[in-house]
Amino acid sequence: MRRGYYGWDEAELPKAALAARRARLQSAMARENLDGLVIYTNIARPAAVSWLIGFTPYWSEGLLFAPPAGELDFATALSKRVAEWMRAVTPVGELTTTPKPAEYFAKRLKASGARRLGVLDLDMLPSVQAAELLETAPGLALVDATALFAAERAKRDDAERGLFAHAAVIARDALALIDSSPERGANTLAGAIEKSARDARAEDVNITIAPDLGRGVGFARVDRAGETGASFAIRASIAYKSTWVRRTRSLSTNAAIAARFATLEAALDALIARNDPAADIGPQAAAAIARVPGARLDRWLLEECRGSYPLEAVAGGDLGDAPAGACAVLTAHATIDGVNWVATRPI
Amino acid sequence: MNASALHNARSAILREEMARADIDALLVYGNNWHADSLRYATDFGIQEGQALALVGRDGTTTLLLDDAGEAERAKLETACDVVFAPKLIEAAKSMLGRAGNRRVAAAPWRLMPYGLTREAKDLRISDGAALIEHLLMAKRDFELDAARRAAKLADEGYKVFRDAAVPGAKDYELIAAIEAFFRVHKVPENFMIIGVGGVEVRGMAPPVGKIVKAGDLVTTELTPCVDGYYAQVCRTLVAGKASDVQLKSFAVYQEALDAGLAVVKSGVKASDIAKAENDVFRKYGLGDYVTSEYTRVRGHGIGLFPDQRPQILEDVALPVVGDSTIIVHPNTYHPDAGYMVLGDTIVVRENGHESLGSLSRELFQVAY
Repeated sequence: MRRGYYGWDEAELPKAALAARRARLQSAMARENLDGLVIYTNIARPAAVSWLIGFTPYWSEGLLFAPPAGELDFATALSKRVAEWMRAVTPVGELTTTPKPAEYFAKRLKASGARRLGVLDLDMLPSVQAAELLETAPGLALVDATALFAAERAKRDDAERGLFAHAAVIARDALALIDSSPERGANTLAGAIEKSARDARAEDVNITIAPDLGRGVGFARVDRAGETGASFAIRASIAYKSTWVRRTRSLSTNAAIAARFATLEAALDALIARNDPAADIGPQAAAAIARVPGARLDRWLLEECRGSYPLEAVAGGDLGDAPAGACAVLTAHATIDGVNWVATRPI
Repeated sequence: MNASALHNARSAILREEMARADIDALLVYGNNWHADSLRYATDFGIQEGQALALVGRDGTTTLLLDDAGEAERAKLETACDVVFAPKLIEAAKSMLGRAGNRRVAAAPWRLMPYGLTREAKDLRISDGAALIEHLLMAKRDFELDAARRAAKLADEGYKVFRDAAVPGAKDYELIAAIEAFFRVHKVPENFMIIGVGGVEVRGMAPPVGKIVKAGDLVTTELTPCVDGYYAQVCRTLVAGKASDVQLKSFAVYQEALDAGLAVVKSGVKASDIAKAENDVFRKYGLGDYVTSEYTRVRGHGIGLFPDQRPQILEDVALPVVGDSTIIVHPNTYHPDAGYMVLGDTIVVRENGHESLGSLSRELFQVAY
C-alpha cells in the first residue's frame, strides 16, 4: 500500500522487450484456441500485468485484455484524473478508465463473437469481475490460462534481469547500513533501511523483524515485533519498477555470534556465486552451509515470479526441490553453535 | 487497549452478530489492498499474497495464507490456526467441507474468489455484507482509540513531510522521509500520494521524480495505520512564501471544509456533506471543479480500510452513521493555483463531529 517512485525508462524496459513478451503470449494463446486472455491486477497481484505493459496500480484494480493479435488493452477503475500519470509510466497498450473493467471487455468480446476467454488465475478472479464477464457475454467460456502464462513468463529476458539486478543492489545497500550499529534497535534500523531504499527510488518496501533469534525465527512487522534480543534478523522485501527482491540479514550485538553469522553470510554468498542452475538448489545449499564448522541447514525456501504474484514459493519444504534459475530469491534457515540464523539473497 | 485485547473485543462482537443472524461461520477474504474484513475477524494485517479465513461461532479461526512468509508471520502475530496454503482455493474448499452442513456468510462478496462463488450453493456460502459491514463502519471506543493514535501520528508525520519539502528535493525523497519516520514509530502501513508543481498539476499520484521548485504547491494525503485503523490528513504547502493567488485560492478550500464539517452529524446523508462543500466552490464560480472531471470524492469513510463507504458525493444518499470515522476533504483543482488538498479525519457524533487531529488547517509555507 505504500507506493513510492514509479516511472518508465526505455533503457531499462525497452518497448521491443514488451512487444516480444506480448508476441510470445499471443502465440501461446493461438495454440490454445483462445479468443482473448484477461489478467486481473491490484497491488497484491501486480506482476503479470506489469510484465506485459510495465504498469502497477498504486490503488484500486484493473484488467488487462490480450486480444489474439495486436496491442494489449488495460482498463482500470482508477480515476480518469490519473490517466495522464498512467500514460506517463505505461509505455505500451491502450489505457481506459472505467468503474467496470470486466463489463467493458465483455461487451467487446460479445460483439466479436468470442467463445473462449483465457483467464490468468481463474479461480482467484474476484467474483464481481467473473459475474460481469459472464452476465455481459453469456455463453463465453472462461478457461484457466495460468499454466499457459507461466510457461511464457518463465523465460527471463535481459530487461527482467536488469531490473532484478537493480532491485538487488538497492536491497543490498539498504541492509548494509545495519553493519555499523545493530545496537540501534530494529525499528530504528527499519526506518534507516526504508529511507535508503526509497531514496534509491525503490517503489515499495516491506520490512519484517525476527526480534530474538535466541528464541525463534518468526518474523513480525514493526508494530508487533516487540523488543529485540541480542541476536535478531531483519528482512526487507523491496520493489523497483514492479520487480521484487528480498534480502534478510541476521545480526548480533554479541561479537562472537556476529562473527559466526558473518561466516554463514559468506557461505551463502559463495553458494549464490557458484549456483548450478541445472541442479536442485537444496543439496547445494546444504553443502554450502555444512562447510561452516558447527552449522547445519534447517530449511530453505526458493521464490520466484511465475504469474501475478511478484514472488511466490516454488520450492522448499513440502513444495519439494528445484533448480534456482535467474531472478529467484533463496532464503536459508540454519543453526550455528545452537543459535538460529536466517538469510535471504536474490539469485 | 493492546492489540490482543482489541482483537478479543472485536471477536466477541463478531460472535454475537453471528448468533443474532443465525450464521454458523464467517468466511472472510483479504489482500493488502482490501483487508478490512480479514483484519476485523483475524487481526492479521496482510502484506503479500491473499488470505481466506473461516471464523466459527465459537470464535475458533482458521487462517489460510498463500504466501509462505506471511503464514510464518501470522503464526507469530495472531491467535489463529494458520495454514500455509499455496493452493488457496483447494484448501478453502477442504476447510469448508470439514465445516459440514452449515450456513456460512462470506465477505467481501465482490472480492471473494470465483473458484468459491461458482460453487456457492454446494459450499453453502452467501453474501455476508449485512453481517460485517456495519461493524466496519460504526466504531467502538477501543477502535476510536486506535484511530486517535493514527491521527496523532499523521499530524506528527506531516511535520516531517513539511520539513523535507524544500526546493531541490525530489518527490520520492519526501516519501522516503515520511515512510522512515513511520517505521521508526512502529507504523507498518501508510497510504500516500503526492502532487508537486503549479497550475499544471491536476491531482496526486505516486512520485515520478519531480523536483520541488520555489513557489511550488506540494500536496499529500498521509494515511498511517495503527493496530489496523487508518486515519488520514490532507494538506497543501508552498515551497517558500505563498503568493496572494495561492492564499486566496486556498481560502476557498478552508471555507469548504468548514462548511462540510458544519453539517456532519449522525444520520446526515453523504450527499448533504458534499453539497455543503461544493456550494462554497459554486459560490466563487468554481462549480466546474467539483465534478468528476477534477475530483474523485469530497471525502469518504475510513477505518480498517482507508477508503470505506460512504463516499462523500452529491449523488450518494447513504447516511453517515454515528461513531463512524470519515474524512471530509474538498480536494480538487483550482484554475488559478493548481491542485489543492485539505482534509481531516473525524468521528461522526449524534449532534456533530469530533476532530481526531489537531494540525493547523493553514496553507503551510516552508521557509528555506
